[in-house]
Amino acid sequence: MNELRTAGDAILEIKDLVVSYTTLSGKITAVRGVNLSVERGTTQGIVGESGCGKSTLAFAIMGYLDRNGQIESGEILLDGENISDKPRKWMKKIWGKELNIVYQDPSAALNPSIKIGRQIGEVLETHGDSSEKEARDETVEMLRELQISDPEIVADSYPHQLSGGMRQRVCLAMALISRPKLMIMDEPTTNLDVTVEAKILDIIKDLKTEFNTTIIYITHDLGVVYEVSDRSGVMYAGQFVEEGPTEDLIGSPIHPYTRGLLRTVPEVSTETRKGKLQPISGSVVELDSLPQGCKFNPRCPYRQEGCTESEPEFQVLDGDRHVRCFEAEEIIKEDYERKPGGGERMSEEKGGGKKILGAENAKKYFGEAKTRLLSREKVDDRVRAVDDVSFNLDEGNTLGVVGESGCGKSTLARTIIGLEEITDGQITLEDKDISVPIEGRDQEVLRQIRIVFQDPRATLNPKRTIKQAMVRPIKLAGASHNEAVNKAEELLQAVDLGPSYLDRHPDQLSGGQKQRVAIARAFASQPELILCDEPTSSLDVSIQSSIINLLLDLQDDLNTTFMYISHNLAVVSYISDYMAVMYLGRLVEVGPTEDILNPPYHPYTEALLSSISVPNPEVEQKRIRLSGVVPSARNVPSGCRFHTRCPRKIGEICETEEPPTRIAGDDAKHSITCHIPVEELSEVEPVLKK
Amino acid sequence: MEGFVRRIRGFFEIVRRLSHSPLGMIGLVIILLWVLIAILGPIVAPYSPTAYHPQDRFTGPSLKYPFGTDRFGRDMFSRVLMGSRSVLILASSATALSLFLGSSIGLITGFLGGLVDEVVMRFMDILMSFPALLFAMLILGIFGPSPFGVIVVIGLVYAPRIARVARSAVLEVKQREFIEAAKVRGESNLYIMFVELLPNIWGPLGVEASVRFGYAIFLSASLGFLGLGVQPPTPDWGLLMKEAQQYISWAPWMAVFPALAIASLVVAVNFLADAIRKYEAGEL
Repeated sequence: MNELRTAGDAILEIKDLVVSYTTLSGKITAVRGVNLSVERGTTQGIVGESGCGKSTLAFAIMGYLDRNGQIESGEILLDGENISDKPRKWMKKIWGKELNIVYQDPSAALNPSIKIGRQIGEVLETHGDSSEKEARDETVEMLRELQISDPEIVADSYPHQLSGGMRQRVCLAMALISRPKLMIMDEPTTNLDVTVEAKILDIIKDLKTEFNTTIIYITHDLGVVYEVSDRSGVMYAGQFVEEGPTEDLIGSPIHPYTRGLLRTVPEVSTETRKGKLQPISGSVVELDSLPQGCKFNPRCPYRQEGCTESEPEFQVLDGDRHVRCFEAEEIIKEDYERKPGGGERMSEEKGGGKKILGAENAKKYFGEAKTRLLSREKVDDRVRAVDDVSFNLDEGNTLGVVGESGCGKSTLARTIIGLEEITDGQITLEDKDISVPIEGRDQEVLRQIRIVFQDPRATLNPKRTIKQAMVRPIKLAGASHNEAVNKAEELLQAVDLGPSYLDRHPDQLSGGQKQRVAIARAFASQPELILCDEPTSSLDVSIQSSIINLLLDLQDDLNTTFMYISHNLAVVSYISDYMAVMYLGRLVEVGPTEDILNPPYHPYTEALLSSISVPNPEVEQKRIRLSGVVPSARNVPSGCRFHTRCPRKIGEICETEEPPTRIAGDDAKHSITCHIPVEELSEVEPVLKK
Repeated sequence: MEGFVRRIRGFFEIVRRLSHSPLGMIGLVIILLWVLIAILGPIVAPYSPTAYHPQDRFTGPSLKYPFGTDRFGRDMFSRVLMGSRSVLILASSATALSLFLGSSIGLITGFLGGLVDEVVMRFMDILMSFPALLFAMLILGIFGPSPFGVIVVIGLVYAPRIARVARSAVLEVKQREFIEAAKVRGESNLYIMFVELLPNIWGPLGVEASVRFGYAIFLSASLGFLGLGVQPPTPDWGLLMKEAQQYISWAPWMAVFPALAIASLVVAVNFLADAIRKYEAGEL
């Protein structure tokens, strides 16, 4: 093999590492010959879709593979010492002290019944010779370093008393306190809201300068890798296909897979009407049935004859970059086009302006207002999940709803479709009042609205075949059995699944395929309105883009109206004609997508836009960070609900008076609910600049 | 066609995975053996279970009478073999009844929730707080002893336990999105309960039913022992024990063999139940 970059001061060197798992159906090789060298004090990013072996690699380094996993060959050198063959007992001594890992789920990593201070302090007491008092002081100091404003209070709290972002900081503190030589972070921000993620990423970037920590950062998110890491590697089928300085890798990717990944993610862009997303064809290879030759060849647009015969070497290009591709020399000559226009996405002007969905002061509160027995005092601690929401949505358009978790997006959708009973206000469908739960709606109304859920594993009944799942809603609409079967085949065809899928059970389908069936099922009754509740958030990016393209194609053909809910601003801004920004049960800004992404902004929209990670070196991003978390909807702040976190709060008025909703700019469709006058809001610099 | 093939293949897959549990397989073999004996009955039994052999009263186990004879000289071996019929029929019918009652109650209360759930489940709690045997004796005492009564009583006694299991399984499944998708397209509650929900709770129900089957064997034998079930001269394991009671000091074989038969079946059922539980938990 080619000589890898021999860094002057490599803290970790991995040589030809092969890791396999023994399963009932035989041996599966999850990591197939990985070479990596990580320099002291740098951050190495590792990106890849699910099943590419990135977590296995992390566990192999930690010496913490599952019982059925084993290192077949290769070496892992930590500071020059081979740790790949050390027994667990030996590894235990260096865990925490020299090697540490931060996981995706902070609530699973913390013991729920021990106070934070004790949990962190224990790390010091087991490894060092600190006394309890010293450990406590150091813990508080470390929490302060991680920008926790009341470290003493946090140290005396139990994990459940903290927010998700705070817990992840505690995990970081716990991992850092013993000053490990190497820290592995396995998707530490994946479960967090963008605003919180942005802050954690800031902290991780600071760690490098402050503690000179070496970090291996594992994620599926190219934007995040671009944000935090010095060098990055892209994994596919248990190998690195490309590795190099992050700036180069993201700015001018060489390997067809890296290029594909970068093109496939939608990007927030202030330009309107982008081309179609470019999904990578095919799906991620199964580790137990790898193709001959280059493992990426079945999906590769640059495939040549030789690619199917032998595997390419990991060759050095441009001095400091490594690429596993025969065609690399050729590809590098081509100019890399970030987002090639793949045909116009949709017609310029849409819809006949017929109003499909309307909400008027819609409210959904959970719980009941009570009167205290003794004092006769009225207590209203109902959860105001949706509080006074009004909007209109025209036929064939898509309304994207964004906001942090807990802002009421999903409740809004569930109230519209009738899964929750509306507390007050009105919802109309084609000007018909439908403000009743499902039980009170007639069959025609039920036919008109459908919903696509987030979790592909739960969306189909595991005991029923795809045919049964598809035929039932068509029959309910009045078709005979044969008609229904034919229609089901047609619908499956429309979502790129052949008729052979009819007799399968959901467990024989991949996540993306299940979501396709769910979409086909939603279209089965020819509904006017489809509510999409985060339909792609649990899918890999390459599958996400094909699902989004599919939704857009179907919308073009059938003129269906969508309400698309997601925490992912990039996806929403890509798919939507209109956007609504939701905060704590209220819509703070509503308007055409283009207007939302450009000033004037609501301060909350501005902060959201500034929090997302954009994997594009050409884009300049303004940096605004929100403090704290979304307050409880049980006890909403007075005045403007956003005032507790607003970076642009103007004074007392924000705390005492409800802000007015004003038309922003020339477009009457764009409105902002804020005390700051629109003119002043218009004066800010755009968050994203090319 | 593909569905049929899949089902057959699914069955073999279950057997294959159950075979990873040696105890489960031992249990299965013993149960199948008893079922075979019950079916073949007179063919395998050397004598008629009710035939008197006055010259051979109270003889101990011998080649002629492997399990000895009773006070009328009836062959204990034949009586034990034939006794498997009543116990298997009573216990399996009773388990089926409690499975039917329990899963219906659990499905309805779990799915509807609210007041119905509260009232019905509290009533179930009251039923469960009676000792099973006492409750059964009370009912059979009022309506008179009969095999049919035993089935109904055991079915009633174990239904609340199965209802509890079914209800908690329903509570878990009903939050899943495919149930909401069914609601959204306007399915009736009955359709959702029996077509969408029920197939998804067979697993835990099967585990519970197999455990209950073990208990039902025991309870039906107990009721037989108390004379509240099958009436003489029909052989029944519980009844055989009762008959043996007064001669226990000089003809212990009369009690020992029926007892061993009961024990073998109950233990076998428990082995199998444990294997089924492990299968459901994905440990096999």
